[in-house]
Amino acid sequence: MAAGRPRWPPSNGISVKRSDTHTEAPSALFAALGDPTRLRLVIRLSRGEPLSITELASGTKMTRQAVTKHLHVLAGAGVAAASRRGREQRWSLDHRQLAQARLFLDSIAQQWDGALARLKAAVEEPER
Amino acid sequence: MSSLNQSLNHIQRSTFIRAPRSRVWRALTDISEFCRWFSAETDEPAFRPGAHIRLRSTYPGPYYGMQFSVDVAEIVPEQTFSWRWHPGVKLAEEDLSQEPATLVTFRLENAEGGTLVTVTETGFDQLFASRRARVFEENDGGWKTQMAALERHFGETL
Repeated sequence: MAAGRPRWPPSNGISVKRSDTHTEAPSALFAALGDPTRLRLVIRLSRGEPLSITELASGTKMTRQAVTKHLHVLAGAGVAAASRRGREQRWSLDHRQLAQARLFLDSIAQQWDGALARLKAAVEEPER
Repeated sequence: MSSLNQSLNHIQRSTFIRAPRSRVWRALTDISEFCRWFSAETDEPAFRPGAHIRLRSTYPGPYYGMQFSVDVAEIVPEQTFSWRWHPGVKLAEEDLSQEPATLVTFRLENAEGGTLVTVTETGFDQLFASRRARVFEENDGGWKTQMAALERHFGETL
């Protein structure tokens, strides 16, 4: 997937440990969720019960192939994961992604704290 | 839910600076002064509305040299300076064109003995649209825990 990429989040003291996959850059998460079809899949999966591709496709205009394609994008961003029960593959959400989204906002807020502190220091120091 | 919705769309931070508004404005919008405290470098001579400004981070650490850019939105002298950008770490090979940009706005206000600077960053709601609109409202235990964490987090920081 993303071997060799820098770890996210940036080095502001926060770290997110993932034991199973690489931690993706947040933009991968946002890009994955930035598609209405995938959002619909995420919403259906958010009810908690793991669903098969057939179940996810039922009641929609999507083919099983289309559902599969979108699920793989979500999996690539770490939002969804497949597990196998017998011959059947079932998909569920990885809720840790939301925690990561929160950490992402948190890290941005911290970066602003740092930037404003540097601005204050720069302006308040006597002009040379 | 309104405070959560608000908090997901919005980061706001303020600081009081013991200096006149004109001085703070210059530090914000004079590009070479800006680069000094923001820890960046650029070849561009000035910020102006509509300009696409490429910068490189000079902040010490693993992202030293990271390229990023801002699209200047609004410059209202001594009041408002805003830009759009893609927040967070940008990887060289990433295509961010599909990702919604956020809007960063600096606002200056007079304050007793100096100037109050407030920076807001908005537009995260687009990044989090699904969750904000629907998923957060699910009463699933996992999500509930996450929401509580979010409320706590933003309760403390906003």
